[in-house]
Amino acid sequence: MKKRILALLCAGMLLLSGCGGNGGSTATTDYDFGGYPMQDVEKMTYWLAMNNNMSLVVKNPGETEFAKELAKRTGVEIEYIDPGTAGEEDLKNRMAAKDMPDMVEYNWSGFNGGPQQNLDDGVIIPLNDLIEEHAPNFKKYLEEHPEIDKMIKTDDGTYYCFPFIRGDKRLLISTGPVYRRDWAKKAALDDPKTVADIEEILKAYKAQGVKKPLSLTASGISSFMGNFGTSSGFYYADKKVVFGPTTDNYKFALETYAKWFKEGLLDKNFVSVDDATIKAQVLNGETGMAFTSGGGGLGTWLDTMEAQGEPFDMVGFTYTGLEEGKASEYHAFESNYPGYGSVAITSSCENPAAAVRYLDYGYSEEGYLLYNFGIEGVSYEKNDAGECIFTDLINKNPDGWTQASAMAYYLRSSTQGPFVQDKGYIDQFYGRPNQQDTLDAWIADYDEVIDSNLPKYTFTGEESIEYTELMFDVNEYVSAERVKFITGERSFDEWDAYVKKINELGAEKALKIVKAACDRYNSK
Amino acid sequence: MNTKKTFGQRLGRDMKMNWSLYMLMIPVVVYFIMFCYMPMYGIVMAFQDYSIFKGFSGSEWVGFEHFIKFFQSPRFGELLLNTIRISAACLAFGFPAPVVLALLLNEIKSAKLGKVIQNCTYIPHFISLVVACSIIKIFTAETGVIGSFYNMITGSEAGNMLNNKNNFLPIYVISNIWQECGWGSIIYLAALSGIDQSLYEAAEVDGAGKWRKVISITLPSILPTVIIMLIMRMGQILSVGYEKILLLGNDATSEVSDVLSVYNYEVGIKQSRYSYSSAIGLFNTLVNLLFVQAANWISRKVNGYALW
Repeated sequence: MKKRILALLCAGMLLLSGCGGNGGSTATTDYDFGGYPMQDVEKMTYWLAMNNNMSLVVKNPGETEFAKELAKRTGVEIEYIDPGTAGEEDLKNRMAAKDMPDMVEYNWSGFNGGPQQNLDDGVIIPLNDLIEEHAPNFKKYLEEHPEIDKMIKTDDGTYYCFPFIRGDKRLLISTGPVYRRDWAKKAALDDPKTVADIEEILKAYKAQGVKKPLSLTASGISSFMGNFGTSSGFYYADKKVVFGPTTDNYKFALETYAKWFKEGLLDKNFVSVDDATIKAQVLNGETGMAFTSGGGGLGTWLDTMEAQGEPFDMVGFTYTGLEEGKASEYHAFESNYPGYGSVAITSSCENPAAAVRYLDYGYSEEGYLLYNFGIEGVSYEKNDAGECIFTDLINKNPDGWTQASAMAYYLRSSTQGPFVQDKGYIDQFYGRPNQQDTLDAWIADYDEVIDSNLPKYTFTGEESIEYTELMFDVNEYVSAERVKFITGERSFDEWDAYVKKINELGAEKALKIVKAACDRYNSK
Repeated sequence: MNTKKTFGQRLGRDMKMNWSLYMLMIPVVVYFIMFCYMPMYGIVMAFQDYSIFKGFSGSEWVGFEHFIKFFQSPRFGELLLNTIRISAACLAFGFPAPVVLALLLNEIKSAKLGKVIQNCTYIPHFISLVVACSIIKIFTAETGVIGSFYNMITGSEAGNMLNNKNNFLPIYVISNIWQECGWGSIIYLAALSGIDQSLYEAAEVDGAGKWRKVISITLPSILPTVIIMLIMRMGQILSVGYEKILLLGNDATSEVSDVLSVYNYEVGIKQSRYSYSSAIGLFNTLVNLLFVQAANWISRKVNGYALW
C-alpha cells in the first residue's frame, strides 16, 4: 500500500513539473534585468552547430575566447550543445524526445515546415511581448530599419527569432563569375559586358591553347546563368513571379551553353566535375573562366599561385547584361536576413525573459563590436578614423591558425549569429586587391538587379510541405533535361514539350504558392 | 497418468532441464525484440501524418493516403523500373560470379597460389564504398586508365565515361562484381570442401574427366547452398542501396540511376517527410517479402530445396 502511494506521489510530481515546463513562456512579467552583466541568471543551454573553421581549433563553442568574453559581459553562463556531424538530425531527435535546449541557433525560416509551423506546433515561442519588454537594443534596431523588421516577422507579424542580419550590401554576395584577366589582356580584351564578350574571351583563351576555357560544376552551370539574366529558381521578371527554367532567357542560356559545349569552350565533363577538380584545372592553367566564391575559392587560388610564384591575375566580373549597357535581368543576392544563424527560444526554456535579454546584447553597441570584431586590444584595434582593424592575432596567428579559424575563435562575424554583421569583416577578410576588385564587380549592379529578387517570404506549414513535394520532382527533371539540352541529346525543337512537362510536374502550382507568399509579404 | 500437458507446462519443464541453453538464448532474443520488433511499431507512421513534435499518439491517421500518393506520383514507374533493371542485372551477372570463382579456386592445386588469389579477391570488399567509388570515378574519367582506353576504342568524345548514361549500368554491375565476388565465394568454398572426396575417386575410376566431375559431382553437391543464397538474394530485389548510386551518379545518369532507395533517402532524410518515406519503405519490404516467398515456393516445387 505504501509503495502505491509513493508511486502516485511520484507520478503527480512528474505531471506537475511537466506542466511547469510548458507554462514557462507566460511567466515573463515583473522581471527587471537592468544593465549587463545580468544578475542571478541560471545557466542556459544553447544549440550551435560549429563550422569547420571553429571545430579545427576547439572541441566545443564554449571554449572559444568569444564565448568566454560574452559570458563575462552578459553574466549568463551558457552550456553550448554542438551536434557534431549529426547536424539537423540531432535537432529533430531532440524535438521528438522533447529535450530541446533553451536557445537554438539555426535556420528557422526553412526548418521543419517554416517558422509558422514551428510556432503552431509549440516548438518555439512567439517573442513579440518579450522583445517589447526585455530587448531594448533589438527593438531600437528594428525601429530604425523597418525593411528588416518586415523580413524577420511571419505574415501575421509574429517575431520568432533573434536574426542574423547582414548589415551592408557588400555582404550580400559571396560567389560569382571569375576570369583570367591577364590572358584576356593578352588578346586585348576587356571585362565582358555582354554574353558575346564572354564568348570572345573564351575563344581567345582557346586560341592561346587553354584546354577548357570555361569550367563549371552542375550547380555552377545554374549560377553562371546570371549572365543570361536567369536562374533555376523563382524570381521577378517585369514585376511578375516566374520560374527560371521556363523562360526565354533560360532557353537562350542553354542554347549558348550547347554551342560552347560543341565548340569545346565549355568543359564537357561539367556533369561530373566537382569544385576540387575545377580548382586543379584553374591552378594548372587549363581553365580561364569559372564560377566560385571570393574567399574559399578565389582567395585560396590566389594564395596558392602566389606561393608558387606564378603570374595569376584572376578576378571577378559583373554579371553581363543581354545587351550592351544594360544590367543583368536577374541574378541572386542573399537577403539581408538570410535565415540561418538565427536564434529562436524553445518552449522548453524556463526563463525566456532572461534568454531574450541575453540575446539582445548582440544588437547593443558593445555587443556589435564584440560579435563583429572580438575584444578591443586583443583581436582588433581602432585606428584614427575609428575603423576596427584586426590585429596580427587574427591576420597572422602565432599558433599557425588560418585567418578563418582565428576569427572563429575570437568573433562571430566570419560565420553567423544573433547580431548585425559589419562590412569591416569582409573588407579585411578579402585581403587581396583582386578579391576587393572582385567584390566590387559582383556588387556593382546591385541597385539595378535587386528588384528582380524575391522578398524574404515565409510559407505556411501546409504550403511548405506542398512546395517541397512539387519542387522535388520538378528540380530533378529540370537538372536532368538541362544536361540533355547542353550535350545535344535533346533538340531545342522540343522546348515547348519540355516546358509543358515542367508545368505538369507541378511548377505551375508551386509558382502560385510562391506568388501568394510574396503577395502576403508585400502587403505586410 | 496425465500425459497431455499444456504448452506452458512443457516449456516450463524444458526450461528447468535446459536452463543454461535458455540463458544463452536471452541476448539473441533481447536483440531481436529491441532492434527488430520494437522499431516495427514505427510502421504506423506510414498510415499517419506523422509530426515529430506531436509523436505517434498525437499525429493524425490518414490510412493509405501516402501509398496512393506514391503510386500516382509521376516518378513511380521510372523509379521502379530503374530499381528492377539494376537489381536484375546484378542478379544475372553478380550472382553466378562468386560460384564460378569458387569452382575455379577449387581447381587450383597449389595451396599457396590459391590463398594469394583468394586474398586478392577479398580485399576490395573491405574498401569503404566512398573510397571504392572515388577509385571508380578516377579510373573511368577522361584521363583515367579505363576511361581513356574506352574513349580510344570507341572513339567517344564525351569525356568521362559517367557522362553517358548508357555506361552507368555496366560500371555499376562490374564494379559490384569486383568488390563482392571474392567475399561471396567464401560460402561456396566451404560447401565445396564438404564434398566427399571418395565421389571424385569413384568417378575417376569410371573414367570421368575434369568437366564431367564438375557437372556431375561438384555442382549438384553445392546446389542446395546456391539455392539458399539465391532465395535470400531474392529478398533484396528492390533493395538497391542508395549509397553507391549517390556516389557514382550525376545529372546525366539520373534518368537510369534514380532508384527507390535514393528517392526514399531524398524525401525521408533530406525533406523529413517521414510518413511518406515510411510508406515507400513498407511497400519496398512487402515486394521483397513477396519475392522471397515466391522464390522459396518455386524452388520447393521444382527441385525440393527450400528455406522453409
